[in-house]
Amino acid sequence: MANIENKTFCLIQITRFGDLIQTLQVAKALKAQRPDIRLVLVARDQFASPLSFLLEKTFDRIYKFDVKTELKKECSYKHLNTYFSKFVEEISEEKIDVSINFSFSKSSNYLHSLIESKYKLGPTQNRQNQIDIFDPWSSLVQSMVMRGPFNPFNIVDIYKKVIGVTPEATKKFELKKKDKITIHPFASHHKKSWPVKKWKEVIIKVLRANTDIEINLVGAPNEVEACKDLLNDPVIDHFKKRINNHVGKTNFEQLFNILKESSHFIGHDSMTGHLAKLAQLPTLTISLGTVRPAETTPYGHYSYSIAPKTKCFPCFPNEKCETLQCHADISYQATSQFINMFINNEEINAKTIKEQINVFHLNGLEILGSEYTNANLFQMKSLTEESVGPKSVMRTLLRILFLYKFSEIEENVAFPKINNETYNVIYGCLEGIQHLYELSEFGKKYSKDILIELAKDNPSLDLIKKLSAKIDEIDNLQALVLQPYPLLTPFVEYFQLAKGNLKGSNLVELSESNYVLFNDYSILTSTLHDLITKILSEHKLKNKPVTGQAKD
Amino acid sequence: MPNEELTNLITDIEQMVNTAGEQFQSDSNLNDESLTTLLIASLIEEEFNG
Repeated sequence: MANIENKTFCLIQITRFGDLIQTLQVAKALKAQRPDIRLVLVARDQFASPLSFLLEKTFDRIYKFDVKTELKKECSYKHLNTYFSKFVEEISEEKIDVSINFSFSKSSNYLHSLIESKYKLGPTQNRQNQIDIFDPWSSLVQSMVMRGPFNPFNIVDIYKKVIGVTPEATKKFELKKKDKITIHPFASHHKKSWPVKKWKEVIIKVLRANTDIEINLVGAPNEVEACKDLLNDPVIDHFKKRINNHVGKTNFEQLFNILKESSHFIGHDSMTGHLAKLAQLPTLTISLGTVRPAETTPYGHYSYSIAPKTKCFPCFPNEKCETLQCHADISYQATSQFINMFINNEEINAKTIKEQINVFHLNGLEILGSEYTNANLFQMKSLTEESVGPKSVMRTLLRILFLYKFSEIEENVAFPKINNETYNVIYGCLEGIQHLYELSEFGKKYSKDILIELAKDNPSLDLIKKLSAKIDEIDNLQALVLQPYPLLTPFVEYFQLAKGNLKGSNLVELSESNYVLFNDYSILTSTLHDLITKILSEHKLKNKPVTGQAKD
Repeated sequence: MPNEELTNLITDIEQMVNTAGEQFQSDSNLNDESLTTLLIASLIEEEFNG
């Protein structure tokens, strides 16, 4: 085994607070397993500085940049050029062994390319101005995260896999008796956040049902007005003494201390939820709009999420939405009833939820709870749904297939329970999978034919061109398969990304890589076909109509 | 930040991006200087367009 002692790893995370906290969770896991590794972080000053009280405990050095401050000093290209050239030079002096880009943005890709390091993980913008991603887990992020509803992994587990941290469940913490409940009723985007009036109802109901608790309201300075609106209510006024308004009044360290002194956290998908998990709190996330609970629910034990069953959920940030149906589909009655169970640390499972929450209020939502699998990977499991829909089946299958393909890990997974509607949808996908399989078999054949031709003394360039054109045609045909079978999107997008990053510097090497990739894809699609067939058989077996009558 | 200063900055960046494009055309490879230009251009875009 290669000696990796005293190596320097550089993590690039130049996106927002929440991403930075998730990166910190990964860095802490890495440091716990390899304290000898020197860890440096590259981040934006506006996000890293407020969190420095946490980041500095784990990172040996933090390199921060701030475009706006530099522009205030001198608003010129020349100045920015000198500033960034020096910035990159300074980082490169670290003699970095491995640099890892967790930001997945254009600017971070350029920055990653400029930083000198022996090995690069995650995306870089190469010298041909194209994105290079060679590790499989980063490819998964690029092709699936925030691109649809299919990513089955929490982002912290994906980051751990990119670096190579051995999966270990986070330590279980002790649940505190309900006392101070911290609520962050806002989020960075209106799609992710309930209207204030709904929070009013929830807060009133929870305070009425739990006379022994206080509520801490937390939020950023730009949320002060919304908070005023929330508190401006005669009924809320009645509970004034039990509501501590901290909105816009705390820095991050003070916020973290408030969370540490709380017993539970409730909010939307935002940085505060991740901070609450770092403070070892049970968390409840009301997931709305663009939020993907499997991907971004705070990573750790006792994480719950209430998500709508709205068909268009989760959506994309750039999609306009007038109705916000997903906001309406989560009733405040069910939410407050669930909060009562949550803050009283009651046993939460399908049976207790049904006993305590009115089924009519449960109709439009799903409650999910966190668990660690036998492979020590985090997942959100439905606590309310007896059967799962087609997207959920696909997520399960993606998880099985990619975990095995990338890491040779097998999780113990029960057969997804499906209903007849889901049965019909996934049964319909089998034909699409068959098409994808056949296309990859053709891809294998054409790649092999190119290799055979190239091995000849006088290879025909015309034939090689024709074969290459046929391979290109396969890409187009794969995209066409998606039109009637959108559930297969993650499989095609992952393949196309891998194809764009083929290894090889000449025609022979590229054709070999092409052959290997098509072969992988054949195996992937045939295994997917097998797994779906098994799920369908299991469903048929369990739902076999009873024939004949028992005789006396 | 005054609009005029910002407009000048964006004009300068556009010009430098064009220079980077020319450098890429002639060498078939982006050099560090051009990569830094593209880094600055993308950071400015993110900063002002979100």
